[in-house]
Amino acid sequence: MEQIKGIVEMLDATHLLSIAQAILLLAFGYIAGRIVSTTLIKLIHKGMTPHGNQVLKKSAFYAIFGLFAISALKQLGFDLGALLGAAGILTVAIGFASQTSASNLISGLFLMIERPFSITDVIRVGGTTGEVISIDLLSVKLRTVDNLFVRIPNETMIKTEVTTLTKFSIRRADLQIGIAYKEDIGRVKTLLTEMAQKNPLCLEEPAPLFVITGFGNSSIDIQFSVWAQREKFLELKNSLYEETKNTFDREGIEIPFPHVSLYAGSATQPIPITLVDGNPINRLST
Amino acid sequence: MSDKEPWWGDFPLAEQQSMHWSIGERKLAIQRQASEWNTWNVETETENADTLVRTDDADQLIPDHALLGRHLQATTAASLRVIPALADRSIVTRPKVPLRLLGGEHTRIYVSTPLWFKALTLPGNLCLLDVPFWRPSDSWFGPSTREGEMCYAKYTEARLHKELLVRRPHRAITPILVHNKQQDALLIERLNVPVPLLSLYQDTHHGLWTNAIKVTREEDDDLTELLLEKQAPAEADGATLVAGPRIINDNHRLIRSLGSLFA
Repeated sequence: MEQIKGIVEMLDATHLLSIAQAILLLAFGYIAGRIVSTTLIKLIHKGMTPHGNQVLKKSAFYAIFGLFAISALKQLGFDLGALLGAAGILTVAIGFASQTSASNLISGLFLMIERPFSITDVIRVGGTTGEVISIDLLSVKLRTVDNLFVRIPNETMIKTEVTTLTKFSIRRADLQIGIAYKEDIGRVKTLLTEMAQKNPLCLEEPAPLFVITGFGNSSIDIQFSVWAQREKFLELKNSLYEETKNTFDREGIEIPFPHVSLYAGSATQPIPITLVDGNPINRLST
Repeated sequence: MSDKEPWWGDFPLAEQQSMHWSIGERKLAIQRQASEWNTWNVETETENADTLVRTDDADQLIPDHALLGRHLQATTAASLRVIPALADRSIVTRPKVPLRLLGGEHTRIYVSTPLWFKALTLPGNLCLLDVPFWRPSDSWFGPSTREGEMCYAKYTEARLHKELLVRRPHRAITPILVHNKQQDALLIERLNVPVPLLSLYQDTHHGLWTNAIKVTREEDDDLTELLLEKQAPAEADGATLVAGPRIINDNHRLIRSLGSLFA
């Protein structure tokens, strides 16, 4: 009996009992949060976007876990009022110490409110293009088309230009085409327009756009813009480039490319050419 | 197949037997095996005006690359149902020259829209094939590139007389009654025909019709009332229903803004 009393007194003195209770509360809170949030999503996941699902799940989990964490702190004998006061000072300290994390956290909140994109959207940030797989408090996770996992800090997302590729149903493909100076522009325009009309993936409305972008070094530069359903964008772009090449070959329209003239300069002799076995082989004199 | 016989209907099909439908070079074929159906689809680029021929001889050669699908079933039944179907999206038809309906006038325009070939198992009505004879070009219909819907585009002659219509087995005709109650003329450059909401009827000559659409431009505002008639059009003699609409909509009266029908 004396021994048990002794153990209880020792536990009281070292707060081991409170600590154990607090740990239990935290563990219970974690499990309860997980169960409640998962059940909630299972019950009402229909009709919700994956993005909404994730926000709801996380909110439910953090709310429940937060409540249990507060109880655990109370169990440990912390005065919450004083703790909140201390938290103010602590925030300043933490703020200085973890500027980046705090900035990411706030950026994450802004991202969630502003919603420039949601989960499953395809976005382009800097040079990275990928599908959004999660939007978290500190970062956004992308899966690129070559199946790589990319983590982009929220601060970067707020600061840089982000392009959402899947916001609207239709997209425009700009084909950059060069034709030789001798070609008849009107004929090229007719051929390209007919080609677009024949392709079922190319939208009739908005109509294709034919723009001469300028006189280049070796070609007349043309931009031929066609519209496609978002999902068929690449397919259309590929097929039209292929068809353009085939049509131009068939119709004898030249697609020029830059030519390089080799000039040895006026001070040196012309470049000598030697014929070996009747085949012309150019050899630079050494 | 004689001209008097339609290309759709319920057909008995023995094991290893195949059935072919062709319009010139455009071919579709279905073969029944003990526990699978094979479907072939030979596409052509341009639409032709040949007659649609159905044959059930096995001698016809179809290239292997045209094999579209193999549909597995524990045991295949001895009959096949083939029905014509309207497009799965709205069709935007464009008269070659824009029409102007003068103030207070009404008119009946006939537009023909492309058909899909649909094959179903019997019993069960499980879909084996649902392909267009010639896929119309994609198009966008809406006030801007942000708002609108994906449609198909089709140029139309927009005939005003039934006698002038060119009858083709792979097209259905929709009569559209346009009533302009306003004083100023109504310019019709494009017309959005909501074909997925329409039913298909056949007349006594196996011509295909859809139920008529009545479009009324109201006197006071720019709202347009779109009414889908519940029965076959008067032009289809002795009409019988061939296929119901793809999208069932009980509300036959739709109110749309003018911009969503004409543009």
